[in-house]
Amino acid sequence: MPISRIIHRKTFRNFSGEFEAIATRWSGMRLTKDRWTVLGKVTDLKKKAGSESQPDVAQCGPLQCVLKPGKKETDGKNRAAIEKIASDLGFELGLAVAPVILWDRGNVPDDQERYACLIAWAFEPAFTWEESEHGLGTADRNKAARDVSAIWPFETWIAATDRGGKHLLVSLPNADDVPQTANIDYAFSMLYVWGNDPAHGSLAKPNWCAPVPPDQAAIMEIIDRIEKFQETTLRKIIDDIPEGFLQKSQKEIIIVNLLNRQRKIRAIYS
Amino acid sequence: MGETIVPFSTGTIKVSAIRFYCSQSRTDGLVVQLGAIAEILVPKLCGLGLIARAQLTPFEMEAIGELGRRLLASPFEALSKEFDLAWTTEEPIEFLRSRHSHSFRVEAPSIQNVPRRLFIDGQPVRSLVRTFLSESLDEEGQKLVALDERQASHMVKEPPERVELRPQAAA
Repeated sequence: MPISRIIHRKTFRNFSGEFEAIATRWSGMRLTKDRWTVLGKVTDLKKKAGSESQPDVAQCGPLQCVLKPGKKETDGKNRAAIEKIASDLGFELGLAVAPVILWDRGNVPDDQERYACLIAWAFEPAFTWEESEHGLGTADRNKAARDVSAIWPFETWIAATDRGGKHLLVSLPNADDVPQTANIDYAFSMLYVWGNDPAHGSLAKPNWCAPVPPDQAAIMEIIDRIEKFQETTLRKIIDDIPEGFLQKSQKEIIIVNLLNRQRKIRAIYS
Repeated sequence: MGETIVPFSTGTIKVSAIRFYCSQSRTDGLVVQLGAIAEILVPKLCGLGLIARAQLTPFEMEAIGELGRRLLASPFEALSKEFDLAWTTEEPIEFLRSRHSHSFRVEAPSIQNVPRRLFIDGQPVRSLVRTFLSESLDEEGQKLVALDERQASHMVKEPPERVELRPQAAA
């Protein structure tokens, strides 16, 4: 493993050991070949109340993950592929984005999505920021600020929309620990925003930032890493997505947009 | 149902268990029973009830981590706040399920028709609806106790309960 990766992870992600191992393994893989069993809905709610993708829980051996999308979408938004790309880019940058792997489910009923992804929780137990916010004091927020702030330029880069307290998971095993955080649900980013536009110009800060004191050094460090992100690595992450999950023309739109945006993020945060 | 029978539509009661999954990624992780919430919907009335443990055992407190201890040391107090939030929504259990779906979960509800005995002249009797909601919660509380003998031995036998009824908003 490159030393840079180790430094990155120590700096901006604080996953539990076994989930860091999953993140490392999954970042080098595109598709799971394991046999997964779908256990049922996380929630079976419509968009107005619950998750838009109506995720399921899937199990393989003793491991349970979130399976998305939990229903067939016909809008061509390629949610699973987008989740995977966001996770792999985040991993390369050393950010706290939950591990994702693609799952070609083969023959599934008409109302279900064949091209899905599995998302691992990054620690146990896990609360959303929204449900746990009143349990996090000033000292906890200050300690979490570095990891939490670092995600903001990344979300600008990938044009992440639909951010909020439901999409940031938190854990605090012991009172003196640095809170563990993991960002989830990036389906509404990249292609979702850019559509077929190969040069989408709009860049903005995320629509929601967790209320922690911004860590300017962390923000600048991630901007620096994004600016230096190698095109070959970027292309490999995206081009290796199997065709069923993402068409070649869609891959090129994502690549071109990400490359175009690399050097425009600093202006947003200066 | 036979062709000559006309079904009576009187209303439904939904009951959801509320649990904490200490290891939500594992099939064999510790699950802490926190309580149950019930939602009743009959013509002109809707009700929401909560039954929850007053406190967790020292073992459970250890297992849920620092943040869990801060949030759930008294499940009834914590869930009462959620109850208040849910009470202001049109679909309280659905609201709570969407809000809590990782370690802290409001489970999929069981849904049943309410009994005809709650009605006189086709109209629901407020006191009977309230009692039925309370009884349904007690029953769910007993199920939760029975689910896990080891945890049951530590469980508060008479967990606190809250039941509220309000007129159902016109569609």
